[in-house]
Amino acid sequence: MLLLETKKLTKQFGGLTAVNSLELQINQGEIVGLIGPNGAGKTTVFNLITGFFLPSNGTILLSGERVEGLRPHNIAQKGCTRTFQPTKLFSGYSVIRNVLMAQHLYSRIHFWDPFVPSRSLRDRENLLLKEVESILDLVGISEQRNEQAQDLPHGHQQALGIAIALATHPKLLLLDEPATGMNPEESFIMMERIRKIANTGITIVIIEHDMKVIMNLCSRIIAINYGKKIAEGTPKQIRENPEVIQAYLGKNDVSA
Amino acid sequence: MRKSFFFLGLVIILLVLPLIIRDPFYVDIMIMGAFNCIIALTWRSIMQLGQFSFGHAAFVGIGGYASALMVMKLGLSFWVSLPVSGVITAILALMIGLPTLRLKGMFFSITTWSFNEITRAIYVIFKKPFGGSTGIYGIPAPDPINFLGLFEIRFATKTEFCYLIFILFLTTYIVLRRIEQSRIGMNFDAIRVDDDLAESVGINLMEYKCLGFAVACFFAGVAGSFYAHYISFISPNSFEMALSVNAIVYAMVGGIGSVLGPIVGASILTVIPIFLHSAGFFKMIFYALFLLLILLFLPEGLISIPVRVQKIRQQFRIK
Repeated sequence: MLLLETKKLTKQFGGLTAVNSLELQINQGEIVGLIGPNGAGKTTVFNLITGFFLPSNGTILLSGERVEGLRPHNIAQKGCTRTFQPTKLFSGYSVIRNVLMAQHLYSRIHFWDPFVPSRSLRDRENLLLKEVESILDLVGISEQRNEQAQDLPHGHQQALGIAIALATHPKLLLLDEPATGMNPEESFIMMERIRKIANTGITIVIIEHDMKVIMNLCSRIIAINYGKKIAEGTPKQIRENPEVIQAYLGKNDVSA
Repeated sequence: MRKSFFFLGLVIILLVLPLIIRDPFYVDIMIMGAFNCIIALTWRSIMQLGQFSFGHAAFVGIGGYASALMVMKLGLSFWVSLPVSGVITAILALMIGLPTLRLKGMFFSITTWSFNEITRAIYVIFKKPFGGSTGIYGIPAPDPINFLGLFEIRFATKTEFCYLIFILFLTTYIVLRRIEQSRIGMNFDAIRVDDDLAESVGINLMEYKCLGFAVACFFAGVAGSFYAHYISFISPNSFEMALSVNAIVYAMVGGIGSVLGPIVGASILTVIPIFLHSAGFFKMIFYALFLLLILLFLPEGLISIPVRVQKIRQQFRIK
């Protein structure tokens, strides 16, 4: 089943075309990799899908529904959440609090809640707290639950970034360089983490420069350069695609 | 538990103080202290949204003018005009907030400051209801309250006013604190810390910013209404930038990390100038020096003193 589809998605910044007639199809349950050299427009694609940028042209369909032009909070409501690069956290608050703060969509707030303390409200809060625990377990940082977000080591901050996104119950999770700046051991843990999340039925799109992560995780890879799709296929196909190699390594000059 | 003890203590102090202190001079200071507390508290709750308002006096002024006009021109009772002027202030705050709350940092400060100056210009230009630069005087005191014919509270002395502002202050304090500790306050925190992230997890920024702003301005307007009927005279100069700056200074000196901060700051900074009275000419110098020292050595405000002391103690224990 098609979860996300973009048609002729285009974004221009003045004279620069960051994303150029991009056609994406993401199916339910997939882990898709989005790769490309620096400045290829990968993060711009994420910003367009999640509503942080308004597309210059084209349409975005989320579960068959047009979502371009909606604000980020509406898109989160429709089941699509992202992480940021560099990682954004609610710094100054504990890990638990960070995830609690991200539960807005499922907390069902009424404006009279602060003044009418009720049993159901307390039960709801306990339920939400339990959910936070299970999310922290899933991403593997439940031992750090009481630490301050900004004091966490880099790897755990990345994990918390994902936990925050998971708190919105997404159908589609967009991960922006989840394994950046990690040593092999950490990125292995991150891979396991992403696989676990995918096993819960969440569709994932990953931007990543670490090819080991991409090749291991993704069932399908989309390569873009200068905002255009240059290749799409299985990891093996992408690895052997001459255009992808050219985009990453430059033109093969035989005469040299 | 500790917090409810604190609250109980606060209520008892506020109940007893006006009974002990009867000298009108000191009662006046208590009234202005409580008034300043409300101003600082409401300014801080706008700050909690990550919006640095530099025109808080505008909303106090709108409340004051609205209440004075409603009582004097429309013949409404003070007890009606007090909440209604708060509502009017909140509505005007929403109208100004919808376009400006999208602005961040300094730009919001500048627009709110301009808004303050615009309201003052309107009071001066439109002499008909607002009385021009001379303002409105002879604003009547609140109507007496009759308790089923058993006894009557007449606002003849300052002590009655003192109890009234204490009740208004406690209401403001309770409402703002309850909001802050609820899920709504959690969303305010999220918006303040990182609005992009807050938006990406589904928080409607404008909805919550407008809500917080309107609630804060409602209480600022109510305080303004009280001010008009207590002083019995308001003019455009009553609500100039100095009042906004005072609100900021009270909150900053007390510390904006907690609801207690603005209360501590406003109370101390209302009382200190009295002790400095004998210093005469040097009064402002001492006052400024005090502010500078606090901003330099206690950037998180007076309320951070206990935490600091504890930290220093711990360091000694480790050594």
